[in-house]
Amino acid sequence: MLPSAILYRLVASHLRPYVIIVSGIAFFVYFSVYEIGGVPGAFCVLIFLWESLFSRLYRKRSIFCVLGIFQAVIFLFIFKYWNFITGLFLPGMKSSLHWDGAFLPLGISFFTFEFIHYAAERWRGRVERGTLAEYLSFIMFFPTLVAGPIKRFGDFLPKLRAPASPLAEDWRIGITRILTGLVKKFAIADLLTAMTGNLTAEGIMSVPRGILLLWVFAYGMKIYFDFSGYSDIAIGSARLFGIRIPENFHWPYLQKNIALFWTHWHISLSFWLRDYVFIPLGGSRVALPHIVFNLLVTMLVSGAWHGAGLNFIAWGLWHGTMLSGLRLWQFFVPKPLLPEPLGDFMAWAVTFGLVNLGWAFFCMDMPTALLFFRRLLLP
Amino acid sequence: MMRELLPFIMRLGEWLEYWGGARDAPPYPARFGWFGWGLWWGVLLIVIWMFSGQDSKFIYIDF
Repeated sequence: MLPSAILYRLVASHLRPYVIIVSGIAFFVYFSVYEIGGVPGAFCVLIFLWESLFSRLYRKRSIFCVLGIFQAVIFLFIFKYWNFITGLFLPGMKSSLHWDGAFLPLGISFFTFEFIHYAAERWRGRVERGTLAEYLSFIMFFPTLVAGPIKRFGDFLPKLRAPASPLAEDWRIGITRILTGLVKKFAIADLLTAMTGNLTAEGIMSVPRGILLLWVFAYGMKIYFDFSGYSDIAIGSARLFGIRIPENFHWPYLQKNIALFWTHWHISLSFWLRDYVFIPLGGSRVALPHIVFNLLVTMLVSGAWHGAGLNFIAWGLWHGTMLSGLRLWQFFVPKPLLPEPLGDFMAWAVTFGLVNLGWAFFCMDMPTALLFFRRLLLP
Repeated sequence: MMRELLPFIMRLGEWLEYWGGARDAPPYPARFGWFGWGLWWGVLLIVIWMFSGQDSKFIYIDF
């Protein structure tokens, strides 16, 4: 990364996208071969090349934008959901349709969402086309390639074209951010694995229910420090290039309702879901039952995006139900029931508790998560 | 008590963001030169070194 960031600073501005593209391809191929997917995974770099060529056809209200969205969904479906869907809906044909060598191309969940964003914004005519190299550097920008934050082309392009920002300041902040991310990961998230590793059927049956709560709350902390640490590394790495990318977390566990939680947790995904699922469904400018439906569908998509499993669907519905519950509460109980600051504290405690309980669906498969709740709630 | 505590917590959060690289400028003008940053990076590197080598997979890297 460091040679790439230094080279990016040294070359003329019209050559910068090529530095990003070459380093992005090298990064993708190297990590695919050695970490994910092997040689077939490395060939998935062709997806980026195809997408960048196809994107040249995007115009306002063009059918190609719709086809672009469709093909991004197909990429995601084939690699991520094929075995899950065929196993779920065609159980009798499972063996014949099962893809034994299934693998996930590096960062597919994230880069396909950037493909969809670009196609949708081009269809609406709200984003500049950019050159082929600029678009390719947007989708191949390796600090965010693996796990976000999910960028917006309209934000990225001006930064790519802007004169280089002060090197010393960018590197001071970038290095600090990267080191902070690594501390969050190694010193906090990984340390919590000692507790969260026990969230198995055997572990759940062997301890009192108070310990179960402790374990699932520990998982809530672990996933926060793990993913916000990763985002820190990505944002800090981008800063070494002089490129500021969107923040992904901002004190999510201190928020006092679930809607605020989702505007402070995995922010780039939340806003993506708002713009490309919730609002196209009608958003909040419809009747209350329709809003509830929109929230449930949006969070169902969020759950499915997080993983191909019934537990992720349940996790999405858990959050959809919480968001819907908040809407109904705000509709039927418009005035606060409790005086401040007790009301705020109670709202925070309920949000924090329910979000953390919901992680049970995220970190365990469905039968184990149900066992967890039976053990926690039933005498 | 709460009225005094909340601004303190908020200011602490802003300092944490600054030392974590999430905020460009400190909450109020303060001198924290290259020597200070070098020292701070040293502390962070020691912590990383002490805890490295455990479970190192990131949860969100394609699941």
